[in-house]
Amino acid sequence: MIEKIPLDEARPGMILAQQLQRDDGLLLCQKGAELTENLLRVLTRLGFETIQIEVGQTETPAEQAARLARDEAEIEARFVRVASDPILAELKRALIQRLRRGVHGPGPA
Amino acid sequence: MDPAQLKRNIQRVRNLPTLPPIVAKIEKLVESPTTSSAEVARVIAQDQVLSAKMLRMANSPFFGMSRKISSVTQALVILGFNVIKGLVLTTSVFEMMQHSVVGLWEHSLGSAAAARVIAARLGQAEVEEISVAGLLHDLGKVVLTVQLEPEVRDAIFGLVDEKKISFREAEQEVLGLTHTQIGLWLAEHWKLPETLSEPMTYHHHPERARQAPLQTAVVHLADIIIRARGFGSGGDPYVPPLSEAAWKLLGLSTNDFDAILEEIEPGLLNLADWV
Repeated sequence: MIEKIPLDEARPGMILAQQLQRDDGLLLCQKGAELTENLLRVLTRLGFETIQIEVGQTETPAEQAARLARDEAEIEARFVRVASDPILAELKRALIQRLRRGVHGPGPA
Repeated sequence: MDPAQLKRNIQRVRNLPTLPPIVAKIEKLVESPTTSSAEVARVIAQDQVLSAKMLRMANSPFFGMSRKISSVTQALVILGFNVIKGLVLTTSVFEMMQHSVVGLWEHSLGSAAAARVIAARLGQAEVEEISVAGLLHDLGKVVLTVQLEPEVRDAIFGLVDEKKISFREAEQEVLGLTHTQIGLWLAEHWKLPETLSEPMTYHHHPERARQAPLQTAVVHLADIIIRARGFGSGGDPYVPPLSEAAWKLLGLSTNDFDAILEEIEPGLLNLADWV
C-alpha cells in the first residue's frame, strides 16, 4: 500500500513510493529508493511537505502482470535499432530476466 | 537549411562556454613542476561552493570509494588532478544549463556509474578517471542544447520523433555536425588529457581512439548499458549500436551483463547527493 505522510514523520529506512523531482524537473530519487538522513535533509531544504512511502504489498497479481508487460515492451522498443546484434540481444535478455525477478529498476521488489 | 544559417549555428556552438576562472588558475599552477598538490588544494578550497560540491561528488555512490574523502587535498591525492578537473568542468557546465534538458544529467551520472563498474570489473587502476570520462562523454550535447537557438534545438528533437532516428543522426542532418565534434572542441579548449577527450570524441566510434582505446571502449559500453537500462535520456530512446572492435578489446562475456547491471543499480536510486 502507498501512504502519504508529512515529511517530519519520515524516517531513514522507509521506502519511497514515488519518484521525487525538484521544481525544475531534476530527478532527486527514484521510486523504490530507501530514505536516508541526507535525502531527508535535502527534501526539507527544498521545501517538500509530504511524501509517499510504501507500506506492505501494493500490487495485485493482475497489476503486476500488466506492469511487467509494459516494462518489457519498453525494453523491446529501446532495442529496435540494434535488433540484429547477438551480443546486445543478450543484454536485452539480461534486462528482461532482471525485470521478471523483480530486481530491475524502480518499483517494489 | 541554407548555408548561411548553418554557418550561424556552427559559430554559435563553437562559441564555447567560458572556463571558470578557477580552472585556469589551477591549470597554471599545475604547469609548474614545483607546485605541490597541497598548493592546488588550497586554491580549490578558497572556492567553498566548488570544494563542497567536489567532495560530495567524490564521496557519492557513483565513484564507489571505499573510504570517505574529507578534504580537498585528500581528494587530489586519491583521485588525481584529471578527475578533479573533470568534476569541476561537469559541475560548471551543468550549472550553466540549469537542467533545461531533463534527462541528460541523469544520463551522464548513470554513464559515470556504469563506466566505473565496467572499469573495476576489468581490473583497471584508473577507475575514477574512467568514471569521469563517462560523466563527461555527452557534454557536447549539453553545450549544443544551451548555445543553439530554441528553434534549431527543437528541429533536432522533432526529427528524432518524426523519423525515428538517433539524436546524433538528427544533429548531423540539422547542423551538419554532431555532439562528439563539439566534445572535441570542448576538450581542446579545456586542454583535457586524451584519457578524457577520446571517450568524449569517439564514444560512438571507439575503434578510432588512438591514445585511450580502452577508456573509450568502456565509455562506449557504459553509454549502451545505461540507455538499455532506461535511465535518463541521451536525446532519443534508442540503444546505440555496439562496436565489435570495442567489445573484443574489453574481453567481457555476455554472462557479465547481469552482474554489471546488478552493481550499477544501487547508485541510480538516490541522486539527491548531487543537488
